[in-house]
Amino acid sequence: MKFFKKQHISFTHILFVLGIVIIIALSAITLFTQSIRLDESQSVWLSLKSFDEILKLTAEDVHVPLYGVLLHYWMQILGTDIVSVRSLSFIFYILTIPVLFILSKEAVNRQVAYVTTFFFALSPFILWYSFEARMYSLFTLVTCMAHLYFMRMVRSKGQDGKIGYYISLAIGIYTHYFFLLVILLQAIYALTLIIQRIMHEMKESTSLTLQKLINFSSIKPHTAFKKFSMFQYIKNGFVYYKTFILSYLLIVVGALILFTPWAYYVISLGSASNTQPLIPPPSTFNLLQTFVLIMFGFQNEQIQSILVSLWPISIILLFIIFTKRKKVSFSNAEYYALATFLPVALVFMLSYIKPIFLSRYLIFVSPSLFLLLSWTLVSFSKKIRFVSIFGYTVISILLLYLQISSSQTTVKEDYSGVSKYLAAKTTPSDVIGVSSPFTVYPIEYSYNGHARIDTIPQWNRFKQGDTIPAFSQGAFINQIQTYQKQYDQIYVVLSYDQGYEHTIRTYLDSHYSLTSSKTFANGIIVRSYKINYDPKITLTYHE
Amino acid sequence: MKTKLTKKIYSGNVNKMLLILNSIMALIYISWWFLPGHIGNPYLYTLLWFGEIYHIFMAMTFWMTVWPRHKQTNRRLMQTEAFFPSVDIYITVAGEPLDVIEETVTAAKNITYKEKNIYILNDNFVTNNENWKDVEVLAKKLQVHCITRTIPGGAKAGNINNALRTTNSEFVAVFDADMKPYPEFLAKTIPYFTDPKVGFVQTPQYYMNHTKNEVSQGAWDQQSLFFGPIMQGKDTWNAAFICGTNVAIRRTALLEVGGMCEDNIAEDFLTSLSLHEKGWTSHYIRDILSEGLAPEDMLSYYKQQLRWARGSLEVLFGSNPLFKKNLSWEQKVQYISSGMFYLNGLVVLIDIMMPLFYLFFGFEPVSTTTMSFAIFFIPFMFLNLYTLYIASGKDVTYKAISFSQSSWTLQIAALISVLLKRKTKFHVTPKQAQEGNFLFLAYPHLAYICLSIIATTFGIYTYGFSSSVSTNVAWIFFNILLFIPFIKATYNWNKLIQYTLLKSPKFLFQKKTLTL
Repeated sequence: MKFFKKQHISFTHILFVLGIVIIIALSAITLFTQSIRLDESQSVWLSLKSFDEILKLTAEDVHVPLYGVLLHYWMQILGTDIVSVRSLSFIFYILTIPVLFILSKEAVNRQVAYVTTFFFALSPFILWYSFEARMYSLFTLVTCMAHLYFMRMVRSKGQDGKIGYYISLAIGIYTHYFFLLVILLQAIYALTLIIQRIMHEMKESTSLTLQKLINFSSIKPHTAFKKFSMFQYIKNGFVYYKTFILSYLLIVVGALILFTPWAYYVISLGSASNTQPLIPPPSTFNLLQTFVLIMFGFQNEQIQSILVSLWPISIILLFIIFTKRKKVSFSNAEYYALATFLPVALVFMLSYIKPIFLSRYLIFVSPSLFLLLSWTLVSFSKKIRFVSIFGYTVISILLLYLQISSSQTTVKEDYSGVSKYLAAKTTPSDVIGVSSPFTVYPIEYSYNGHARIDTIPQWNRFKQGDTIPAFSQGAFINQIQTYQKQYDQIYVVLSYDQGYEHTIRTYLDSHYSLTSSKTFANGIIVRSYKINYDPKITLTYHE
Repeated sequence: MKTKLTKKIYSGNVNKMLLILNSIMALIYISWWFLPGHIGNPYLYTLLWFGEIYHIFMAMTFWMTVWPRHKQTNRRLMQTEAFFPSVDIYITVAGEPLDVIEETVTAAKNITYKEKNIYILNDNFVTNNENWKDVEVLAKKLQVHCITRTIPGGAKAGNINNALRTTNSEFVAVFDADMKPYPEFLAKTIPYFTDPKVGFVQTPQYYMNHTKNEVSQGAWDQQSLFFGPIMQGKDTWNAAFICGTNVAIRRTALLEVGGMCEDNIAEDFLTSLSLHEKGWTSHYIRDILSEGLAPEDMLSYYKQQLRWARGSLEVLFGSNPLFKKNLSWEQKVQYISSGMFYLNGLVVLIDIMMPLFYLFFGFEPVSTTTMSFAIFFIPFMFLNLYTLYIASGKDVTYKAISFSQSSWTLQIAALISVLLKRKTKFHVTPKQAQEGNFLFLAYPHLAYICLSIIATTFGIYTYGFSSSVSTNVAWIFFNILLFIPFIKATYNWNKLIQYTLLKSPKFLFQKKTLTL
C-alpha cells in the first residue's frame, strides 16, 4: 500500500495513473463496441451451454475450460451483450497492471516498473485482447503471477511465494495449454540455477585446493579434483537449494496432478474436433512479426511488413544492451530473456510438426518483453532515455489509434456489419450459407433477420460431438439443389478459407446469376445468387 | 601494515559452452551464405560474402583467444627463489615536454628494486628538437643516465637498439616518456624471468586521463578491451606481444633477434613475433603497473591508430606469421588475427555501401527475403555481442565499438599506404590536447550521412516505402548510430552552437592538416 501513501504521491505518479486512465478510457469507448469476432462468438456460444456441455465441448476443441466456465457465470450475472461479455477480459487486464508493476519493481526498480506498466497498458496488442471475450488477458495475468511468485521463490530459496505460485499454476494450467510452456521454462531455469550452483561448488573447491597447493606444495591442479566426487558436488548444490527444490517440485507436481483429470477427460473423448481454423506453418516473417505485434499491435499489412522489415534496428539495441552503461541492476535478467524468447522459438519449431503458431497464443511473453524493453531504455543516459521512452510512447499511441480506426487492420472482423447487411437484404425466402462453417457463430450472434442460416458444408452444430464434416463437391451441389426447391436467393458469406472457398465461388458463379457482392473488413465477402426464378415459398412473415 | 591493492584490467570468464554455442551458431549462419539461390547481384554478393567470412574468422579467433585455459606459471619458484638480476630502465624520449619526462624519471627512480639503472634514451637530437640538451640537463639534475643518439634511423626501435649497445644489464624495462611506472613494476615482472625460457613480460598501458574527454575515453575504452580479454587470452596461447612500453625484456633474447626490429613502425609487434619464433615464451600480467596519457584530441588519436594499423598491416603483408616455421599454429592464428584486425575498415566500407547500392540502383546482393536472413543473423549477433560483453567483464563500451567501426577511414588509408609501399615517418602521440577543429576526420562519415539522406529520399521516390526500402534504411540508421560517438568526438559541438553560429562561422572551417 506504500504506493498510495501521501508522501509517495508525486508528479510521476499522477502522470502515470492519468496517462493509463486516459488511454484505457479512450480505448474502451471504441474497443468495447466493435463488432463481435469469430473467436468471441465461439466463447459466447460455448459459455451459454450447461457446465457439463462447456467441459465437453472445450475438451473437443483446442482449449482448457476455465475461461469458458468463468464467462458462463459472468453472463448469467451481466447478460450476453457484447460489452458485458468483453468486460470480463477487461477486468483481467486491469488486474495485470498492478501485478506487472510489482513484478518489475521486484525484478529491477520502481522506475522500470513505471515504464514497463505504462508500455504494457498502452500496448495496442494488449489492449486488443483486453477487450476481447477470450482467455488471453487472463492468460497474461496468470503468467505475470507465475513469474512474480516463481521469482520470489527463487530469491528466497523457497521461503516465500509458495501459495501464490501454486495458485497461479493451478489457474494458468486451466487457462491455456500454452501455459505448460511457462512451467517448462521455469523448470529449465530452476535446473540451470542448480547446475550453476554445482559448478560454483566445484570452482570454489578447486580454487581453495589450488590455494593450499600453491602455499604448501608443488602445483598439480588436477589432483584437486580427485578429492571430491561429482556426487558430492551435486549433493552440495542440491543442499544449497534444498527448500526451493522441494517446494518447487511439490507445487509443480501438485499443479500437474490437478491437471490430470482434465487430461484424462480429453484423452477419453478421443481426438480433438476440427472446429479450429486451419493454421498454416509459420514463416520467418511470422516469427519476427510476433514481437512486432506485441510491441506495436495489429496494423494493416503494409505497415506491419514495414515494421517487421525494420529489424536491423534490433541489432543496435543488442549493441546497447551488451555494452557498459548506466548500471540498472536487473536480478535474474536471464530468466526474463528466456521467458520472452524461448517459448516463441519452441512454438516456431514445433509448428513445423503441427502448426500451432498464432501470435495471440504467445501473448504470455508480453510482460517479460516489456520488462526487458523498459529496462533497456531506462539504462540509457538521461537524454536518450527521455527521447526513446517518449518516442516509443508516441509511436504506440499513434499505432493504437490506427489499429482502432483503420478498417484495414488485419484482425478486424466486421461480422456485425455483415449481419446488419444481411438483415437488411434478406427475406424468409432467402437462405444464408456460411463458409467456413465455424464462422456461423458471430453471424448468428448479431443477425436479427428472418432468413435461414446454414453452413457450407452443412454442419449440425447443435448436436453434441458432431464435428465439421470435410468438404465434398458432391455434397455441396446437393445442398444447393436442395435450396433451389425452397429458396429464391442464397447469400454466401465467405471468410476463413479452409481450402474450398474457391470451389464454392466458382461453382456458384458458373451456375447461377450473381445479384450482389460486398466485401467487408479483413476480406469477408458476401455474395448473393438468384437460385430460383419460380418462387415456391409464398408465405409472408408477420412479427 | 596497509598494502595498496594493485588495480587490474577487467576481463570476464567466458563459459566454454557459450563459446561452443557461438561456434555452432556461426557455422549455421555462414552456411546460409553458401546456400544456393541467395545470390542477387553476383559482384555485391561476393563482396559481402568475403566480408562475412572475415567477420566469422575474426569472431572465431576471438573465441579462441578468450577460451578459458590455465597458463602454467612456476609460482613456487617465483616466490621462493632469490632472483634480483640487474635491470636497465629505458625511458624513450622523442619530443615530449620536459615536465612529462621528469615525472616519468622520478617515478622510475621510485621503483622498489635494488639493481636498477635508469636511462633516458634521448632522441631529440636526431628528431631535430631544439631542447635535446635540456633533456641531458634534466638527466643530470635527476641523477640518471642519458643516452643521446646522434645517428638517426629506426625511430623508437633504433633508439632502444642504440641503448642496448651501451648498456649491459641482464634485463631491460622500456617505458615511453609519458608512462609513469609504479614502484612495484619490477618486483611484479622480474620474477617471471626465473623461468629461463621467458623472453618478455608485458603489462597494460593504463591511461590516467581517460575520463578527460570523449577522445581519451574512447581511446581507453578500446585499450581496456585490448589489454583485458584480448591480451590475457593471447597470453594463454603464448602469443602476447610487446606493446612498445611497460615491458620487461631479457637482453639475451632481444639480442638473439637482433634487437628491436627497425624495419617496421610496429617494431614491438614484429620483435615479439621474432622472439616467439626463436622459441622464447612471453607473459602478460593484467596488473596495472604504470600509468600514462591517452590522446586527448581526435587528430592525435587518429595518428596513433593509423600508426598501429599501418604497422600491423605491414607485418601481415611483409612478414606474414603464417609462413613462420617455428611458430605454433595457435601463435600463427593469434598473430594473423591481430594483423587482420585492421582489414576491418575495408569490410565496414563494403557493409555500409550495400544499402546505398540498393536505394540508388536497385542492386541487391542477396535475392532472398530479409526475414530469412534475419533469422540466422540475429541469434549469431546476439551470441557474439553477449560473448564480447562477458569476455570484457561487462566493461566493453558502445564508444569503444563505435571508435573501432568508425576507424574504417584510417584503416583503409593504412591499407592503401602499405599496398603502395609509401614510406611513413614515426610521430609521437601528442601528450596534450591539440587545439583546433578535427571535424575533417569525420568528413567521410558526414558525407555518408548526406549520401544516405539522398539515397533514402531517392529510394522512397523510386520504389515507394516498401519493406525492402525500409530494411535498407534501417541498415543506414544502424550505421549512422554506430558513427555518432566518433563524429561527436571530432568536434566541440557545444562550442559550435555557442560561438560559431552566433559569432564567427569561419571557426567551423579552420582545420589542421594531417601529417604522418
